[in-house]
Amino acid sequence: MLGNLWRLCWRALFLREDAYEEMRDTPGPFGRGLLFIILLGAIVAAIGVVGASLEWATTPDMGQLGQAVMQSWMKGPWVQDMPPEALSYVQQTFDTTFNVMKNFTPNPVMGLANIVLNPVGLIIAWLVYGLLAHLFARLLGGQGRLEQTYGTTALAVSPVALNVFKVLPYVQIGGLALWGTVCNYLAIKSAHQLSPARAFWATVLPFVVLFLLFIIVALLGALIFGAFFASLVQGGMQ
Amino acid sequence: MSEIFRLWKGALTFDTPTFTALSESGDAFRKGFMVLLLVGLLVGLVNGGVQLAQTLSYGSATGEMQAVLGQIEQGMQQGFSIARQYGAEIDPQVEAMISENLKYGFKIAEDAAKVPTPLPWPWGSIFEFLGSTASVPFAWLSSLVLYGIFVHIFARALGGQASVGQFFGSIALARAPHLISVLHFIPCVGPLLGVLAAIWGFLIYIKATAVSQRFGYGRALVAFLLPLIVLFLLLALFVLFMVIVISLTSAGQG
Repeated sequence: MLGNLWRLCWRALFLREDAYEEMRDTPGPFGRGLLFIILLGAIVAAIGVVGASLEWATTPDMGQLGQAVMQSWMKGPWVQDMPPEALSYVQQTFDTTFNVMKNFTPNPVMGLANIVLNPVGLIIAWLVYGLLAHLFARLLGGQGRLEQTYGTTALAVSPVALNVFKVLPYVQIGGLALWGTVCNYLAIKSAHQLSPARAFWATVLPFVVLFLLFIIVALLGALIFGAFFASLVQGGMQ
Repeated sequence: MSEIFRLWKGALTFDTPTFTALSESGDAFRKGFMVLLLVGLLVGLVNGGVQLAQTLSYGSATGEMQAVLGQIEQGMQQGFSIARQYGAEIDPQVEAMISENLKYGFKIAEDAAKVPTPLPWPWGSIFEFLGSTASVPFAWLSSLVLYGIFVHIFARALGGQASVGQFFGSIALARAPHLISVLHFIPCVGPLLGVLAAIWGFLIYIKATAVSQRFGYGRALVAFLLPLIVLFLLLALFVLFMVIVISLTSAGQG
């Protein structure tokens, strides 16, 4: 079963429509899709630990780097003209900046955590996108069942497999999201046996909906935070 | 491997049977991607290798940083000199102030470069070389897929018949001439060869589009240009809209 899944992954990755059709017609496509995503996400993340560790081994500690930069900065001629409050503010800013940078530097622990986090993230994205794509595909005249949509769109995650190149440090794997979108188009087209134009819209519309939802949530968040801070300021004044 | 070489050679010589066979092979995208991957890795390997050799010649992390900073300073001096040649008046006091601040900025960068890492210099540079080499084909791939999606949509609207795999596999061959970019490190000649590769690649793109979509070169060229034209028109509309809004706002205020 696993061997067959990898062969399907290889063919789906290289945009072979027969791979998506095979997944559509296979018994229990949802379960197979879920297993495929868990395995792919975990294996790719495990391989990525090597690259992340090598990057960590050649990156200076952000705390030490911050100290070195601050000490060097304090030797500049500008320091003489600065009031002590301003110097203290600069020190705080340096500390905050390098503390934030610490979170973005690669490290083996984060790499190991990704063995769990990566499949979880992929599964959430797959469940949300699959559901929206299924709704739009059905609205556009699609014939597929929900489990077939999930089965084929799970295969569309295949480009993630190219993250195996992350065994090398400092590598940037570009274009995977776009490649994944093209795979999703084939997945929806196969699952619902739609025409190319309808399959295109069923692929793109979930992204439009998600983008609009993001805008609405961001606006609501800004409004709520704005109201919260306004009440804080008013409370402080009283 | 021999199949990849045959594809690469056929693409360079605009050999129609090569494009037709690829398109009809049923595994077009894998084959086209392999050509792109190998050419990209070779280009990354040679150009990255030249850069790595230069980095190793600096002897230490501080030496490497000093060399980089020296290049920046030289570039700035050249900038001032060119600006003066074109009649710009640069206040010597301002120039001195910039130079002095730059000197302190360089000192900070040098001190930062001295902070130790678990693995000593030059491992960081070696790893960056490996990473940048492997990144080249994926950088090419992302631009190819991004623009290719729009070309494919327009090609289908113009009567094209290629499947997604056939089209992307065929246009991946447009990267075949970029193998001459392995000579990019040669001053003057390298960038010129890059231009030559870009023109050659464009012609292969048109050929690949025409053969895979099964229509003429005229329609292939239109399909290639339409995304650019639409983007230009959208930008023009946006600018026009902004001009109208700004004019109306200023008229209202007046």
